[in-house]
Amino acid sequence: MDDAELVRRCLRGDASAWENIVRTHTRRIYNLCYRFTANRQEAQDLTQEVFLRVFRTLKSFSSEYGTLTVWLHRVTRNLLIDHYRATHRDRLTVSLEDELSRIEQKESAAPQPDHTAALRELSITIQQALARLSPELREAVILRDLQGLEYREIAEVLDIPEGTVKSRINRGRAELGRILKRWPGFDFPASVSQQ
Amino acid sequence: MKWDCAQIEARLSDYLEGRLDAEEQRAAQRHVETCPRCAEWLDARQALVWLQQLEPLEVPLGLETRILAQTTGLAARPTFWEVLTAGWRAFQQPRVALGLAAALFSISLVLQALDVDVRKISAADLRPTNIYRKLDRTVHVAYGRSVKFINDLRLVYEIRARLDALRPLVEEPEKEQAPAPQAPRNEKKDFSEDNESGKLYAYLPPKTTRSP
Repeated sequence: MDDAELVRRCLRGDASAWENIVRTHTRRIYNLCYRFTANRQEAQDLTQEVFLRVFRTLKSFSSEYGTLTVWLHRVTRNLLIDHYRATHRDRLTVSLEDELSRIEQKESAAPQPDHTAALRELSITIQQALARLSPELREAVILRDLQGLEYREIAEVLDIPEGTVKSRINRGRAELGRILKRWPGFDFPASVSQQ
Repeated sequence: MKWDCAQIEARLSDYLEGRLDAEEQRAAQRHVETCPRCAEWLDARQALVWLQQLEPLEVPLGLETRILAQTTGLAARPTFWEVLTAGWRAFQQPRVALGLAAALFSISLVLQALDVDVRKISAADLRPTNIYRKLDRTVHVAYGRSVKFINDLRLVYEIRARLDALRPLVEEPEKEQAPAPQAPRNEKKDFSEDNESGKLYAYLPPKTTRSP
């Protein structure tokens, strides 16, 4: 069933169609929110808010906007921008560091197998490094490399030409690599999973 | 095959994401490794390798149901299957397994301390009255043992005190015959003045009277 048909069924009051949409997309939207806020609680609240907005504006969905995935990402991104503006930049970074140090303490308390521990540490460090990228580079890198969207889809979400998308993603990756290279104590092998 | 900066620029995304064919990938890699202008793409490639290893987070339990409740007003209760899978996922985490192992270990310690043999346990042992009786007995036995231990200690101390009181009477005659020089019984002895001990404690600064 294509997205337009699913939305039409939702609008006719078919609860199972809406449930289908929620269950299919919650994980990606939650992950997107988490990568931007680095806070699980905020990510949950934002995910709920996204679906509430989508539910209220379902009528305005049309397949010319692209797929449901693109539309959901666009709604999420707009919400994240609002959220970013509303929460003071300083407060955001402070809460990010608090949250991360809390996670680190909590998670380092229990001994982990080497592999999982290395991956978790990598995840936390990358999250912190991502927060240092400029927002426009960060969102491009997250949408491509963590959310797995196509370049064309990202161009639709961000409403910019595909060439600009590519250049932002590549600059973002290079900047992230530079930040990680200089990261104190960051000593990961080229590939953790190949250990 | 040899690549230049223009080729790298044209096919940068394909190179970074490993979509070139093997020979092209090697040529691109060689160029990037040697060209100072393109060196930054080495960092980009490494960053991408790391990014690709991050796994997406699981959806927190109940989030989907909360969303459904908020939007359609359906009952906000996670389905049985949701609870089961979330429980199983939590169970698979090493933290939980370790916690469980630690709990089992402490339970086995407590059981051992209470003198319970799990293999010989019967249904009758699980009745509250029997558990109470067994606990009561264990506590009494432990109390009895500690009382006996303290009494024994008291006796030992008393004997020792009596012996100490007798010692001067026994040693006095010995001292008169021959004063034992090496018996360091006097604990306030100053090592620097004692020739024998002075050798042993040679590293101590000699006791000198400081001139004003």
